[in-house]
Amino acid sequence: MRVFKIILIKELKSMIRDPKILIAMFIVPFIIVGVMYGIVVFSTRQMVEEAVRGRGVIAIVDEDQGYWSKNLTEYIKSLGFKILRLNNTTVLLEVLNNRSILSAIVIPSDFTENITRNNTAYVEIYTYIHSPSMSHLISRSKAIGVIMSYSQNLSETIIKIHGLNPKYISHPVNTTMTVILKDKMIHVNDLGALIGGFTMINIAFPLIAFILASFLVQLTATSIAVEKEEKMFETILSLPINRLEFIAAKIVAAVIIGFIGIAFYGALFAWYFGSVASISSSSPASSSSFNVFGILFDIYGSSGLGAFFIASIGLILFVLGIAIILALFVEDVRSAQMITSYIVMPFMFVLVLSMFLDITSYPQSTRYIISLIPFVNISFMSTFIFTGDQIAIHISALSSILYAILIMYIASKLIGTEKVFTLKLFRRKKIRT
Amino acid sequence: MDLLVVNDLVKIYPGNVEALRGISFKVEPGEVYGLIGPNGAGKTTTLRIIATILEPTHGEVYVDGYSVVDQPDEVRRRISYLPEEAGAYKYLTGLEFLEFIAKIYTDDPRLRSEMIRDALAISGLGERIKDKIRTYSKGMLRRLLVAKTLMVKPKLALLDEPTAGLDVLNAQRIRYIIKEYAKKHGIAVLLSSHNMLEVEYLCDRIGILYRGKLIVEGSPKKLIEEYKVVNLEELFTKLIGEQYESF
Ligand SMILES: Nc1ncnc2c1ncn2[C@@H]1O[C@H](COP(=O)(O)OP(=O)(O)OP(=O)(O)O)[C@@H](O)[C@H]1O
Ligand SMILES: [Mg+2]
Repeated sequence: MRVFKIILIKELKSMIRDPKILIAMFIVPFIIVGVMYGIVVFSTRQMVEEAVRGRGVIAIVDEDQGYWSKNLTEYIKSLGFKILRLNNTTVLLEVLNNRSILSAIVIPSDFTENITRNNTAYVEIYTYIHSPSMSHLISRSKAIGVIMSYSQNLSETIIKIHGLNPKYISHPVNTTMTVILKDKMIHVNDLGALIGGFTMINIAFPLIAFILASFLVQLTATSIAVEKEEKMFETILSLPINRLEFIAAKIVAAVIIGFIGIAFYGALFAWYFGSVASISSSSPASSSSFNVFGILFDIYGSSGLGAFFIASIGLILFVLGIAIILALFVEDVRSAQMITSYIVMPFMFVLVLSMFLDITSYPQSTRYIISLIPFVNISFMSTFIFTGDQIAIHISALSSILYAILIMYIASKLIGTEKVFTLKLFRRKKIRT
Repeated sequence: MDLLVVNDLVKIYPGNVEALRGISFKVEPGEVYGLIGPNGAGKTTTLRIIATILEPTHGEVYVDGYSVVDQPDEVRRRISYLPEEAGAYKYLTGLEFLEFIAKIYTDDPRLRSEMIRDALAISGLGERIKDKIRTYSKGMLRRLLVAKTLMVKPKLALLDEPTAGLDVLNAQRIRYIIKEYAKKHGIAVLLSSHNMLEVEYLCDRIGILYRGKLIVEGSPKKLIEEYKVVNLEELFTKLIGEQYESF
């Protein structure tokens, strides 16, 4: 225990001081998240504002000069657009070449006549695309939106004139939906929110385990590789310390720094999603999706969550074991970090796959096999819990722990031999003379 | 009783590289023993096996009666090893590094502060001991490492080219310190070197290693007399040079 403490203190000291670790852990992701945040917030705000406010100039060629064409022009004006009146279409191209003109609307001479005779009326929209960017394209499509909303208003007016209820006419049949989850009935008005909520809970646990594992793996592998890079490895191997204690101290140091990192990112993401949500807070979907989230938690129950927890611990130890073994055999920090990302990548793939794959229809034996594969089992664990497949749940949790013990055992055996010193991966063999 | 016993030691690296082909020698307590030999002779390999880093392919090594294969923990408690290409944690200060090593060997604070005091004297780093190791020159780092190796007063110090990279004056100083410190605290030293002057000055006995075999062993004085040469360098040239000529 004494040596453990000494190593742990040394680890924490070096980790805090070494820019390699700080950069990998905080600064780079911080910049990425910060920039991402800036872009998303800025562009979302921009788009929301753009969509609400009618900013810009719309050119109108009114060949009709009737009641409804004037009514349409007034409507566009009332939305906040500036109107540029053109006498005929000959100058259209020239005018549209100016970027500040969003579009030109040509109202044909039969416009008023068609509406008054209950015929469909047409307008023609011309627009010039100057750039392939998203915001530019959105601005060019505004005119269509304007006409659509005008048409909607007009239809309501016409329906009212005929003495009918516009709400009834546009949606004569509507639905509400009740979802039965296990023994509970839940009313949902938004299927999208339900799907979102389910997907979230499906990947939430594996995702948390995954993020934690990749943090720990990255840090532990780095700190082992640092010993080699700083040419301390040979000295360490000759010191009167228990090598397992040495590795354990490194893991614990990684756990401490890793949890600080997780808390840091947790706060960052909470703030980040908080700001994004406040921009689009008008949508009612968010409140109902939170309901679904709470209900799903109820349904999974404490035993399911417990199994998840055990499997997650197993997974983290398992990945950590692999990372330790590999990190012992690489020469420097960079290859250690490269290797750990190789370990982590396939897991990310499985995680994404588990979101789309429905394994409930698979034969029982296939599901048992899935529950035996490390990490794959944890990705599908929410499905096992949901369907109440107790055997698969237990296999998943137990096998995760077993794999972890096995890999840790192999790691501990290797640490005691000269192989930690002589085996070298990812390095060209010396040319013997 | 001998402190270090190396008996018929063989080391074959993967790829069938025969680094050691059956060497045997002994080191007594408090004795300074020098391993010399051309590049690739097997000096570092020998030291690494004694330091419990590599495993012998064949043969036995005992330190203070403990086998490096069966009781490496006991061996590690009795040795202190300075590798040929060693470094130190760059983001610690020299002092923090020494404290780290001292703490591993003892939890008695009095012994520890004694170790640190000795290390300060050995390294001669003065106030620079409070600077981060990453600001040290190669020679300063080597002095720090020699200090950390000796300060723990092991029964057996293993020094792989202790003065490599040091200037003439610093090398002389370190040699003097090794000799005096070993004598004062009864530390046996097994060192390797390419510097014949160093070996002649420091060592009670030397062994010349060539192609994984110990070809000559004895005190520098006796060997010089026996082979009728003026110094060890001439002896080395005579023995190894002859072998080279036979090609
Ligand atoms: N890890 C290894 N794998 C394979 N062969 C090795 C390894 N380490 C050393 N050798 C070989 O073993 C032999 C002895 O090497 P060793 O490092 O012990 O020599 P040395 O006497 O210390 O040489 P130097 O004076 O250059 O330091 C050499 O032929 C070397 O190529
Ligand atoms: Mg060597």
